Formats: sequence, structure tokens, C-alpha cells
Amino acid sequence: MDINNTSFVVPAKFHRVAVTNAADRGLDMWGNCGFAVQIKHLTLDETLAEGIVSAITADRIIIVCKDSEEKIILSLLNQIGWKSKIQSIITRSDLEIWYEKALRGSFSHLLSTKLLNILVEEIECEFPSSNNTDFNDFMVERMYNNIKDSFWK
Amino acid sequence: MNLIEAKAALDKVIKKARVHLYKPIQVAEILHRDRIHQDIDLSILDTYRTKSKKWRDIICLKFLGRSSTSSARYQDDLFNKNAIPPEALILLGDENRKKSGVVEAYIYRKFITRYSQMTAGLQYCHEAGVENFNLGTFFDLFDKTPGLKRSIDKVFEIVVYSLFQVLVEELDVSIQVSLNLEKTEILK
Repeated sequence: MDINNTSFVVPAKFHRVAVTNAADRGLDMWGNCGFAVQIKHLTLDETLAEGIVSAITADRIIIVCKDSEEKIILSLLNQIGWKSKIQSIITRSDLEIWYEKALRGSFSHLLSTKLLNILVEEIECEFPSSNNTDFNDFMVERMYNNIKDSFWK
Repeated sequence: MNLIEAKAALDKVIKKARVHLYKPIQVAEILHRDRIHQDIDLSILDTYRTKSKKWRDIICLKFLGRSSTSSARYQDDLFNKNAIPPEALILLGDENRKKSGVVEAYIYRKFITRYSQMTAGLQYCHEAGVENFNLGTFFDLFDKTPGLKRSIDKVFEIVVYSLFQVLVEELDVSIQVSLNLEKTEILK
């Protein structure tokens, strides 16, 4: 961008950050339109919630959680005075309804196949089921297949 | 510590591990090195603490296409007293050498089992197809399988990402970035 090019338009993109671990406090996903997503499958208590929310400088946070945790989380956020920072809370049920809509709703012809394809691609990428033949060769090569032991079964 | 306790320590690490089983694979490769190359001393952590990450990564890259990205501190937790300290490795190493790699084989069999459980999630996507895929059922596959439960956060991430991604693509969402024309003087 310079004096001759004062604006530009780019397609919105949504990215997953390379594999991180639950122990990290890292970013999981980000969009080039200015949002960041962290997935925390943790049971929130006051300290943990405060730690996570205060570590994020963003002022509009969306929390995805289990239905049963929604009330607890809301009450915790109220207690620590962070509720105004939370834009919304999405529960597992919300996700289930949205998936239902995308897969079998009025616009399923546009969304359903793509959605399921992306889901499959991401599972394969996250949990690559290594080539079974390769792994079998490895087991044979190291002679693990011949080992039988009742204590180590 | 005796062998039963050492095995219990190993089982605990396997149980706690996420689907990729990085830490148990590291143990298997330390034991393999000790059995075949005999160039480490299991009682001296420094002879294998750092090098074992490389041995583990060779296996992980080959079969998983990736290696651990966790912090060095998290990775070194493996050798803590409440995980698999050298005294446990000494016992596992003796047993492993005596029985031609029995502990290595045990760990890799556990790895295969964990992976085949993961395949169930993938299989469900293929079999259910767009007509029958139900997100609740999909979540349950992970929630109700002990070995997969620890990876449920990854599943949540994938589910959220897939939905956002398809919507952003299908809606042709774009972003316009522009500056205030009255302030272009600043750039001169």
C-alpha cells in the first residue's frame, strides 16, 4: 500500500496454525480478517479463566464449550469482571445445529459435500493414518511380530 | 521400584498420551537404542535425554508425517519422577534386552491400537456421508473412547475450522483494507 495504491481487497482466509499441543497456550486458528481462535478443552475454574482471558489482548472473545459448562463459564466471567470482553459463547449444541443446517438445510447443495470433505481432510492431516504396509514392514523388520509374552500382552 | 511398577509407569504415560503417542515412542526408541546399539547408559539421563528426541522424530516423521512441536520443558517431563525416570528405564531396559525387544513391541502395538481407534472417526465420516452424518454421534466417538478422549480438543478445532472454512469460501468473503485519503500526506 502506498500513495498510488490506497486500498486493496483480498479474499478472506481462515487458517489453522501448525499442530500445537494442549499444554501450549498457543494460537490454534486465525483469520486474515482479524480474528484468532484458541480451543481449550479444559474445565475452567476462576484462575484458569482469568489466566486465559487476560493473556489475550483481543477485546472480542468467543468461547466454544460444552453445553453443561456454559452457565458455569458465564458465572465465572461475571465474577472476574470479564463478561464484557466475551462476544458470545458457542456450545456443542450450537455446532450440532449449524452442522445440521449446512448438511441438510436449504443450502446443503452448496455446503454439505465441501464441509464433509474439509472435515475428512483435516482429520487425515491431524491424525495421518500411516501407510499400514509401511508400519507392518517396520514391525517385521524389527521382529516385533514374533514376540509373545503374557506380561506384555 | 520393581518391574511391575515400571510397567505401570509406562502404562500411565501411554494412557495420558494424545493420539500421536510421542512420549511412548521416545521410550521405545531409547530402549531400542540400548538393546541394539548399546551406546547409551540408561542410568545416565544425559546420554539419551536430547538424542532420544531425534530417534523419536525419525519414527514420527516416517509414520505420522510430523514430529512433536511441544515445548522442550513439556517434552522433558517424560523423565520426571512421576513419569518414566531413569530408574524405571533401567528396569524396562533389562526386561527389553532379555526378551528381544518385548517392551518396544508392546509400545508399538499400543500405538497401532490407538491409531485404529482414530480410523473409526474417519470411517464414520465416509460411511455416514452427507445424508447421515451427525455431529453429536461424531463427538461421541471420541468422547466415549478412552484413548481418544484426550484428543477431543483437536476434534473441536477441526469441527469449528471446517465449518468456518466452508462458509468463508462459499460466501466469497473478502476483506478490504484502505487508508484515509485525506491523510496520504503522511506517506509523502
